[in-house]
Amino acid sequence: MIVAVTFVLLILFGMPIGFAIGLAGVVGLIDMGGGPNFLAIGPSKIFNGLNIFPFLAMPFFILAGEIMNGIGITDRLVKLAQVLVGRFRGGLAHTNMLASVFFAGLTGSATADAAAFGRTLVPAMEKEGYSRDYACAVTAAGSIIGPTIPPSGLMVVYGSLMGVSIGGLFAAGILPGLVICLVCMGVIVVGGKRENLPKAARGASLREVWDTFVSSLTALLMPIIILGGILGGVVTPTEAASIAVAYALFIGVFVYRTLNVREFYSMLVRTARITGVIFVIIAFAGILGWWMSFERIPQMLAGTVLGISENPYAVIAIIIGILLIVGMVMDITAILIILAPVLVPLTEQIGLEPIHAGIIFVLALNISLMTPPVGACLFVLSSVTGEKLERIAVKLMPFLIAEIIILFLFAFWEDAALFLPRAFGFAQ
Amino acid sequence: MKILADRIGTTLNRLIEAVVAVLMLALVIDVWIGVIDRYWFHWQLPWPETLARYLMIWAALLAVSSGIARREHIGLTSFLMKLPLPVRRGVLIVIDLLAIALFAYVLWFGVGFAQSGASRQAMIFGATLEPFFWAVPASAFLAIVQLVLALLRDQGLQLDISMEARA
Repeated sequence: MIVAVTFVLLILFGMPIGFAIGLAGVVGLIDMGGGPNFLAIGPSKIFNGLNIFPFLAMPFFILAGEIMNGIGITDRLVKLAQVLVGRFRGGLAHTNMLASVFFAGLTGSATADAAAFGRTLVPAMEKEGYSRDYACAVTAAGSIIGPTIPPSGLMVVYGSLMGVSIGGLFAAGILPGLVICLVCMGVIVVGGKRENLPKAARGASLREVWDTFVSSLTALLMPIIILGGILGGVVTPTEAASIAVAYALFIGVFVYRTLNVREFYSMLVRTARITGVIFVIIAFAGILGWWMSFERIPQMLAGTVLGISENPYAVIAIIIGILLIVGMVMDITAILIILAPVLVPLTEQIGLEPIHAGIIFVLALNISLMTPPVGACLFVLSSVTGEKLERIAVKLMPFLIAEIIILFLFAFWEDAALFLPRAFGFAQ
Repeated sequence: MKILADRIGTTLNRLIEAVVAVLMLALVIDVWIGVIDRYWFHWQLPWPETLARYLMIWAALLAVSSGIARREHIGLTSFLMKLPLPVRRGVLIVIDLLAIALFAYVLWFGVGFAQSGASRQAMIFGATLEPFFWAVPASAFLAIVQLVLALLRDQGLQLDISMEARA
């Protein structure tokens, strides 16, 4: 009890999430009453919590994304999306969605997508006559496609911590990501007249489409290299990530010739800082996680939930509910690290396939990135564009409802969720 | 005092970031060597994977202090922003002091942990685990230094300063 109260109070009063987890863990160690013997365990839990080889994929994917963004790939991908879908009513809104899919293969971070599109596409949409709150809502809705379609940092963390195939999770993320894109484009079509969305004066010619496709080819090859290697069983996710870095460097230095040593230095440092922010959460969660397993918290929670209902659908709905609610106020990596060891045993008890459970976690947490009051993507967009968070949240509602329906669809329909993992031999 | 703390913090951070960049570069090259070895030369080198993990831990933990200097470790601010400025300022100062206490704990017990690595083999280059274990107390020490400097620099006004800068 004292650990939970400490944690909630620290979070409420603005302590960085990783530090709050650490202090709550230390309070837990003190509460156990073992004195210095228990307290001395902390540093080894920090080190061992990070000493996991698959984690290496994360900084490499971040670095590859940093390089691809830094060498000017963003504009080419947005242009490609625009020539493909820009001709329809709400063309730039569709462009925004499709570009999120293209981007997903590069960054795997929703907030990075939201920040990049908030600076580029939102002003462009405003200029074409879209209201700013709607443009932000479309951007927020599309941003979660990034960490759903692989590579995804969240999947790397989940797979590493829970011993689930990262390749299998990557395979499982492709279909929901594409469905989210298509359904959100449907939402744009349905709301197009009501929102009075503008229509492009003319569509792109076939020649323009071809030229733009060719100029974007180097960027489009990146996810093919990453996914082809992993799903084909040729390379591990970490190796694929390192190859992605090599490929991005090659493109930046020899093809686009826009990458210099100074920029690369900044990218290395930025990658380490982003990794550091995530790893400090993972590191301190090692202490809190040890305390939780010592106190048998996962078993207690499983007993409570199964006491409510043993129906698998009800249990899945409860898990999703917990993730979405906690996701409203907490960083998703932290939620994953704290709640996955607690909730995953529950999914095992109802016979959920590990990759299926993983994709439910990842999807739910990604959606929580755009749920008010503190969805990270809403914050990023609000701060980048100056639009009020509440106004974005209102326009976002139809997209949010659609994405939650998609989440439940893949959660309850195992064959759909595991279609690609089974096709690539990751699941039975 | 504020300006001095800012200057020292920035200079120290530049140094740390340079070290972090070197470690990251070494990490990239190390993993490439592992990939080339596995698919090309088949030397079956035993060290790239292990070394990569230790380089990653050193780089990421050192970067924690860099994130502190830049106030990149963010928390929930919506409740804080509803508090009157003097109260908010007081709370943020207490939060910084608690974070210092946390890293002081990690430093205190981390030194013993690092020394315990002297009797354990790292399985690479005949080294012990001690130089790798030192990443924990060393990064905790740097985190304390940067937290103290950031506290002296911001004095509980970091949220209001960043909002002003944004405006």
